[in-house]
Amino acid sequence: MPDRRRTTLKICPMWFSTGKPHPLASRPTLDISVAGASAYNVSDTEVIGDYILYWVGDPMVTRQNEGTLCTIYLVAWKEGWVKEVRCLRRSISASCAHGPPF
Amino acid sequence: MSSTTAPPIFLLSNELLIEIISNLCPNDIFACRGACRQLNDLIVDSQLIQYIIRTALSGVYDPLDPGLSLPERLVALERWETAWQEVDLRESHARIDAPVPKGRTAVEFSFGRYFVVIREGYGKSAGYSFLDMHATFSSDHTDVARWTTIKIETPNVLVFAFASELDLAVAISCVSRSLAFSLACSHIRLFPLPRFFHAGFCNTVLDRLCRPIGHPTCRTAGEQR
Repeated sequence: MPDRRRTTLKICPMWFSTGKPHPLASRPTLDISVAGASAYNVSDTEVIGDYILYWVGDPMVTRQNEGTLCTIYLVAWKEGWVKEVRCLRRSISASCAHGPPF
Repeated sequence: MSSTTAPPIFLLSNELLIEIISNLCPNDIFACRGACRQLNDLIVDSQLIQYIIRTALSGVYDPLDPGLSLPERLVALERWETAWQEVDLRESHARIDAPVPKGRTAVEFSFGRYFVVIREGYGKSAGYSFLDMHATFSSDHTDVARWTTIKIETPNVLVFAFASELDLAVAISCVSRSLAFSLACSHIRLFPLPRFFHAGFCNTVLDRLCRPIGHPTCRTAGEQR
């Protein structure tokens, strides 16, 4: 029985120029199970070498707390594992810039 | 009463002094030249320091990584300088005639040699299109740029990320039933930016109506054409 309070996200590392699965990735897709409505929130991702950083922000998005940060997931896309590296009960202010995804 | 003893700095070997001076910025090197005749001679006679001054004057930074000898570096620098002196810009600007692919909530940005347009969103076809600037200019017969489109079958792509050095594109999509349905039901966008979403849950009728979403499958650029 799936947990309805969790939402599953799928991460697909691809070859940019063809869209095919990336040859350096150990698995074609990786799953992240995020809490509740997290995936509705402000989220962004960035590739840092062998890792993908995916962060989910505050559910109540306003202009005042646009940069708040709730949970960070570390994804080792080459090795094929995902870790929740930070989980806060309440959002905090963070200098998290929402720039282009590269 | 004057002392004929050399300053302590000259107790160091010339090689060591050159190594020290080579770490200074050009202004400080010129200041050293003015300090005394002995330092001036050392700087003027040093190929390494002269090379460093020349790169600085040319606006080139050379980290001096191993692999090239100093004469080879000088030749390369001379070629670089000559190329800039002889550059012939006949037109003041370049033009690429490439209509942006149609798509909802397109986000444009440059990514290395590519100009990219991405499409994200819930319940819609997601993907990205890119324009290879190098290929555009090097092609013999095309004066119209060609977009390459990568479509991702999974409709709920939340966000893309790219890494040019790895030729990597990462799509993060939602595959659970609850999210797909509830976002389709109550999708409220608070900001014009495409990845800022806020929506409520509709859990009660969720399982009855929403179909499972499969793995994303990608089509190649050739299949898109």
